[in-house]
Amino acid sequence: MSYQMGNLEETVLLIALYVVEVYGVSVADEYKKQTGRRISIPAIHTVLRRLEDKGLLKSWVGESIPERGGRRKKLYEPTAYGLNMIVEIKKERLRLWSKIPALKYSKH
Amino acid sequence: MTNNKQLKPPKWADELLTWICASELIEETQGDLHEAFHRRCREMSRHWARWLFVADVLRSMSFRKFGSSFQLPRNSNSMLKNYAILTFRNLFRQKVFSLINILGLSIGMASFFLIMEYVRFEWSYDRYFDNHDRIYRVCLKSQNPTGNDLNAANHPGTGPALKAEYPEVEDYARMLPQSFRMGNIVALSYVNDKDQEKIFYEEHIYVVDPSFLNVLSFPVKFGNPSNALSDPSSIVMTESTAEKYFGTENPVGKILTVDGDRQFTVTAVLKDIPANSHVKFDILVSFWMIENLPGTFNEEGHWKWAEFYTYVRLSKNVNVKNFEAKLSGFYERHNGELLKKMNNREWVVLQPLTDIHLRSPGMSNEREVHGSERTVYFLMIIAVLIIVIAWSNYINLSTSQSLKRAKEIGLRKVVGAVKRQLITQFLFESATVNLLALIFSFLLTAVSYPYFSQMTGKDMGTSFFEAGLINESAFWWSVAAVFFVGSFIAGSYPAFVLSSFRIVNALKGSLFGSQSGVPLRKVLVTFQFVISVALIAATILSFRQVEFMRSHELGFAKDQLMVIKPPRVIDSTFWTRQRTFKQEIKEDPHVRNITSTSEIPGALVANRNSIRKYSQGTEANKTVYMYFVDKDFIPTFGMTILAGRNFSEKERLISPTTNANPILLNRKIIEALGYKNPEEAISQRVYFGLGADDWIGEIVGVVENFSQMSLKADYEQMIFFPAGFPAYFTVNLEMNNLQETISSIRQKYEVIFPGNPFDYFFLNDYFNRQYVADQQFGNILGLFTCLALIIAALGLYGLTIFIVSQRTKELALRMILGATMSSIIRLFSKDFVRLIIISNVIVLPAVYFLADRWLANFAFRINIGWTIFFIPLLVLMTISITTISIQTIKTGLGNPIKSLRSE
Repeated sequence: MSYQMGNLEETVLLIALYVVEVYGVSVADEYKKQTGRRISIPAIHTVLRRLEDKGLLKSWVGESIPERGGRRKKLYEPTAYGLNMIVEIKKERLRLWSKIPALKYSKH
Repeated sequence: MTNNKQLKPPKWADELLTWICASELIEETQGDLHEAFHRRCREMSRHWARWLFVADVLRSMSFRKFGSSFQLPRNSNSMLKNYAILTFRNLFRQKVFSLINILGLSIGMASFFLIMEYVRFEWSYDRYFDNHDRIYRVCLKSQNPTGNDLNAANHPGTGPALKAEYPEVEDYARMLPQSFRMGNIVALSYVNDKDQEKIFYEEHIYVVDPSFLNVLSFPVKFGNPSNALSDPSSIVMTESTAEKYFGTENPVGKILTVDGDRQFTVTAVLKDIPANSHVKFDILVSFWMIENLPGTFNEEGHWKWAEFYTYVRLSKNVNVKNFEAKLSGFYERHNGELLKKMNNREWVVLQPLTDIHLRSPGMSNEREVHGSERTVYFLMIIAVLIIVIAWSNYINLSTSQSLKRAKEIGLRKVVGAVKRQLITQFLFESATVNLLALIFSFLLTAVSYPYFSQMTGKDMGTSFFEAGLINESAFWWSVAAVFFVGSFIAGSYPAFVLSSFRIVNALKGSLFGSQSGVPLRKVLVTFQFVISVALIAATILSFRQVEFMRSHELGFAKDQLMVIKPPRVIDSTFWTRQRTFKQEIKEDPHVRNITSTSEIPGALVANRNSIRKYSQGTEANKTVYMYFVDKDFIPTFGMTILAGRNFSEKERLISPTTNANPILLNRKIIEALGYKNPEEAISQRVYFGLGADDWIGEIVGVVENFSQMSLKADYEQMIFFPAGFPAYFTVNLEMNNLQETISSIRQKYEVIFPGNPFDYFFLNDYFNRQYVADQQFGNILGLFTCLALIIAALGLYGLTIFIVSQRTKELALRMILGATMSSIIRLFSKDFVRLIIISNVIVLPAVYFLADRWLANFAFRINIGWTIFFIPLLVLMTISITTISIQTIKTGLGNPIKSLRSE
């Protein structure tokens, strides 16, 4: 399986797997909560769109709340393909981790 | 909730977001940003939240409308072929408009190129010399109680002293516009192997230093320039001068006889002096000549004879400003005593060689008529204005076409063309029109170039393609600039106007959307009128001033005077012979009088000296120009004696100390000396300078002022001596039977002065040659004014066709209801007449102001008068009303039914 995914894309995809409502603001919030780093909303938008282009997420138009000035949310949800992909990545990482000799690993 | 209301993100940033963000993304982006803003407001200060909002908006730049990957790709390039087809279809369908556009543009471009060539030529002066950037003319600035002077020539001592004292000066060269004897003319003769003699008068002779050709590297044809002038009996001539004597053979080593006695050897032949040289001559002789002229050149003369044109070549990397500052005490050191005595101060001024032609403002002692930088800039402005007029035409005509193109545009939009494609199409059209115009303008330029070259009076070459401009990258840049500005700046306005119609309106054909084109069109037409008025006024003014100068009273009978060049090949019997000649000529019934003088009006007076009242010291010295005349001078030239009397037959200058050397002065110097009226001056004593001495003189008469040089200059201060020095014979004759009179004079001349060529000219023509440059400028101005008017008229014609065609139905209805043709013409031309009057009101105060400043350059000037206000108005009115009438009558005479049916 061939894929190309950046670190930020991977993180956002992971967040999208467990956050209830996946859209710009919620993902940005969760990202900051988990990593401690601030990220701008347009940056999240870009990533979400890119993941959708790759077929890892799908989207639909959601509802509006007053705070949004009448604008509706665009909500995302991982596709089956996205789920497969992230599992593949995890496996690959674990395989790599297992290669590292225990000795070297335990020393630090 | 109330809390929420206050919590609004910054409005400007929010609007910026809607503006930059692509419409398909705005929903989620703006919503999320607003939500995040409110959330942040709870977590941090509002200030911070607002800041972050702005930052987020700016980061949303990548979702912009244009050029983002979210837009559908549109490949306009593949449509180019289609655009080309359409462009040509449109050009052919609108033949008249296309022709007007292309013709107007190409006339504009051709004018631009011609003027550019002229400007280039004016700027090219003296740049062909080696090291031209290091060569300077050493001018003399002087200041005394009577005024300041900037002299193009300098003392003979200046050049050698500069070279001896300053390491900055590599070399110097002096030139003196004098010939072998006094006066400016010599007879030069050559006897070939077969004993045939060729003899000509030569006038353009300079006496120069041996280093002259090393400093100013005139191109050489034969001989070695570095030592050509080192021998005192050497002579250097130009190619065409040499040809007169020797034909095409190499004349180096041949012997020429000067004035029948002195012999010179030709050492070098120069190529003809390039037309863009500030100094022009036919013959050079070595400086040695004057060093041996008795009484003219002693130590003292080194610092009081400022008639030598002096050039220096500075070393590399010399800062001229610093060097000039270093020279500030130069004359005090060399000539302090005399300067102090004369109450005079002098400075060296170094004028760059390449500045001489265009930047020699008001220098005295100039031999050639130089150009003026102001004229060059003035012409450049005209060039730009003409081309802007042509562009205005293009804009006006293209936008007025919009009605006809509306359906095409509407349909294209319906089928899916976006604005950008339509703009590309219209720009393509304007580029095509401009390209065609450019090609045509090259043809026009090439054809008209020889005539233009002749008109300017400059020897710029006969073919545009051989002339220098074509080889210069600057020219091609200006061509490119004209093309691109024409195509894409002038072309973009119609492109944007035409492409922004609303589809429905466009399809309905009811787009008085083009109402929006009307104000700009009016502005452009007004602009064209303004330029036309200004140009017409300038042309009238310059023609009237030149005509005024040519016909103005000069203070002597210029129309009846014929000047004969006196013999140069002379011997001891000359004085007797010239007396005989004068007597015999006088006996001719058609000759009123004859005089021999050292000077004639229209030529620069060779000698100047000083004069003061007998009771005054040298500090009161005034400058006077010197005329050596006989008693017939006053009657022959028809001058007026204001007081006192003319010279008598026997009167002569006697000696410096004799109490009664008789002199005549003119009114100007009498006033300068402080006499209240001419009568008061009679019999008064004065000191006047002659050579190095002060002579005592008695004023026997006062002569009315006359114009020595052109009427640009005021009257000069003059002194007349009773000493018949025959540099010129001037004959006052009856103008009927002219041929007969001249041939009888010729016969007498040839009998009395055998071996001398008979050469004559009429003083009127000779004097008026001073106005040739002004006339030529007037002609150029007139030419481009006409061209500008033609272009503007073409545009007007196009616009009229459009306007009348738009109102065809109205016209037909009015005709049916009984309106007269003249009332309709009045109705239709009302708008234009109003614009013409507005533009006159705008421009005429400026014209008046500039005209007044220009005329201030002339000592004798016309009054501005009412013609320059009236004639432009008349010309424009005639042009526009005629075009409108023609168009209206053509339409109005047609069958009104047809007009009404027309769609």
